[in-house]
Amino acid sequence: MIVCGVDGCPKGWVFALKHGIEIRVGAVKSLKRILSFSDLVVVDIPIGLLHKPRKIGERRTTMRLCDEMIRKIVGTPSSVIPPPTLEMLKERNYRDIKKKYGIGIPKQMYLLFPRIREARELFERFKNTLREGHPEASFTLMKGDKLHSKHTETGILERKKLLERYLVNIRFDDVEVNFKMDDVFDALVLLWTAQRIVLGEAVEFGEGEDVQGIPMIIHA
Amino acid sequence: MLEVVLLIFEPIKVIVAIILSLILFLIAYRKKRRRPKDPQEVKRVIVSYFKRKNWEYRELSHGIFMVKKNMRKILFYVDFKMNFNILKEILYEAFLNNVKDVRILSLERTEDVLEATRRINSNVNVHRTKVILKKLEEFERVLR
Repeated sequence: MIVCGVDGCPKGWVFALKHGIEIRVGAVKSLKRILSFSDLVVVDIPIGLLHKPRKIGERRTTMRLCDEMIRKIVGTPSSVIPPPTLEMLKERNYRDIKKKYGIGIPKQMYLLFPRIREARELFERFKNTLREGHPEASFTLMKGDKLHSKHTETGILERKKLLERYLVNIRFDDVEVNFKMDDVFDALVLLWTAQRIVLGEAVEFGEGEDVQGIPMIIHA
Repeated sequence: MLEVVLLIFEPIKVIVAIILSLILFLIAYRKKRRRPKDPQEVKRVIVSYFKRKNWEYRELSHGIFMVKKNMRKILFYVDFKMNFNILKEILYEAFLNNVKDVRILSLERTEDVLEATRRINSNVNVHRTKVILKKLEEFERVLR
């Protein structure tokens, strides 16, 4: 069985895959290449999206129910970036989004628009293989408590120790890294989530599907 | 009286001899036809063909093998049986070894195989060839 955790980054995808007892870390430009041979792939990309912003009291938001739930678990609101709506996803100019919809999207999320489009397109073909995950939610469940920020030295060490404990065969000294280490950590923790899904131990956050039938559920 | 008996039995002997030789020929012909029905032999032919042309040969997992010359790499899988799991292994090896050209030679053409082939076709260049068993030499033509 081949399971995989994938983190979207502006230039492509960082992946951690497990085949037998072997774990490999690398990067690819196309998610399709990984999906073609994997039994399960968990990606850190919002796949199922709201059609229009929803109202919570007086506030309009693009956050889905699953994002709100994850935000409560993780504790740090900045860890959950508001996803775009389906309408916003069509936009090719960052500044137009705020003007047109009255709600801004963080630039970090806008840079991931091509990855979101790619994941959504592939979902139809790989609906049994592709799942949405959230690295920080997985880390929180892994530890059973809130973690320090991933931007601090304590936070990095904490995540590294957790991964070494739960992904038995990973040794960071062996990992040749040509990309950011926090992307590698995220891919690895999503790999752990993928294993949990296979074993039936994963937790699902959120409910329902978007207008195109893609579930708005985050696995951790 | 003896001459008469010989006259009757001589043609019968000839006919019996003809029938026997025909049976022996048919048995030998059937054996010859059956002989190549062995994936290992098919594999040997492919490997020797590429070795003659100075390609490097590497054995991978699940009976998958790779031939390599300079920047060019071809991944092969030869067997009677083929299923979705094997195809995934082939694609995984193609991914790990950065191979774009995959050639699968199998006899069975089940729905599973066709579906898996469709699924992988967009990722790598798959040449799926139905093997002509009675003519092993056909491989050289097929492979080109």
